Amino acid sequence: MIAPARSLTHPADEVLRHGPMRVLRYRPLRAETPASRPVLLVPSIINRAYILDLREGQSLAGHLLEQGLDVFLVDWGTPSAADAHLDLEAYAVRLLRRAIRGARAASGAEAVHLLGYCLGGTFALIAGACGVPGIDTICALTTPVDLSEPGPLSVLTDRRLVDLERLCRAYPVVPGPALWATFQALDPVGIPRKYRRAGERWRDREQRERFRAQEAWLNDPVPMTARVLRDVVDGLYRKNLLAKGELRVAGRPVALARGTQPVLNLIASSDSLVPPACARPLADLWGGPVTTREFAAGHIGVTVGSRAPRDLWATVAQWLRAHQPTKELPS
Amino acid sequence: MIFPHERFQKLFTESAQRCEQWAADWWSEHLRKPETLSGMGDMLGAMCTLKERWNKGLEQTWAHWRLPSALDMERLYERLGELEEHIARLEDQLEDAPQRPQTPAQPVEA
Repeated sequence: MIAPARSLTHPADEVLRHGPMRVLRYRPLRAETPASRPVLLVPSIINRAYILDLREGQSLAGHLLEQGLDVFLVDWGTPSAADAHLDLEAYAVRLLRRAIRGARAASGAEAVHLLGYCLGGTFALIAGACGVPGIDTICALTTPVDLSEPGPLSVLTDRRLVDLERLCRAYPVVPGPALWATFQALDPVGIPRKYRRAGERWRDREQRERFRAQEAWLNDPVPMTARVLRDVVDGLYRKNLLAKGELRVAGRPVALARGTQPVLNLIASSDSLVPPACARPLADLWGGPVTTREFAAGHIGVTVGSRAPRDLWATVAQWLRAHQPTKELPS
Repeated sequence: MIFPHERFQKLFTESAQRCEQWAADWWSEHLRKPETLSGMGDMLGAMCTLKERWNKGLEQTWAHWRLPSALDMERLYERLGELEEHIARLEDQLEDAPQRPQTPAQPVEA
């Protein structure tokens, strides 16, 4: 097994720490002033944040820095027993609001662009719909929204498999390796298959390094509080509350139709974890304008695959450039 | 011209692919069966029961020594979380509130 790596590729400074969460600001690559409106990258809570800055040539954050943008990253950290009370509301509204405020204070900007990956995208949409201040636009990358047909994950969220209340009582913080093993159980043959395929391309240095970096990230699972797991599995997956408009956060219903920010919905057509059918309905559910783009890639490959620079990264950078309101980006 | 080692490699790859496909199909079919799901659920349930008993034992031990338990700490952190949320709301209100104009201090008449 390839050992996990826990560092970002590009240098970044911590601007805020709250509970397990940190907000990091990347140092600009060039001396000139970065764009006026910063980008806040919001990864999923299921895996480590550095997937968005994996290695040179596999870094969405690095590409945005090259475009002259001011890039911040939310690192959800590793929840401990002290964080066991964190639920969906805490992550999607309380912590994210703090992160946005931290990014605004550090950059002096009125608002930020949110770029949420997977569940991070769902959190960003919930925050937008709840009226969290300081959100200019949202990029939702492989974001589950309508989970009426969740694909292979329906097995993991089956009521016969997991009694969530019991799980909450027994494991206030669910260990990362247990979550990792559960995902592997969906396709145990996938492990020898990917190693065989990697072996076939082992002479290609670039392919080898790519495989190593991705495996190091995959073998670095994060624990999750049982409460957020319960809210996600029961509320989003089993009951599909977000798409139905019945999800309640802080006692108030979350209506995606109330969201007003422009959204870029980025879908991976070969995604098995978030099938396109779970992400496409955002265009109908969201209140503001939604631009949808689909890429021929999988859930991880869309962000760090060999075609990501010309597909996903270019699309995101173009969108963010188009939505810089006050100041032109350096060319 | 195909060299013997290339032929062997091709044969190996094809066999491996067939085995993988067969195993993946078999697993996918069995994983979705109600009895498999219920069996795995029972196993997970048993694990949870064991862990719950362990947690309860620890709670009682801490209580016996008049020490705060993990549950006490969790409750405390939850209250702290609520307090933080309250502060964050107040901060938001302050941020959104219109700036009050600064009025010059009036001289106090004797």
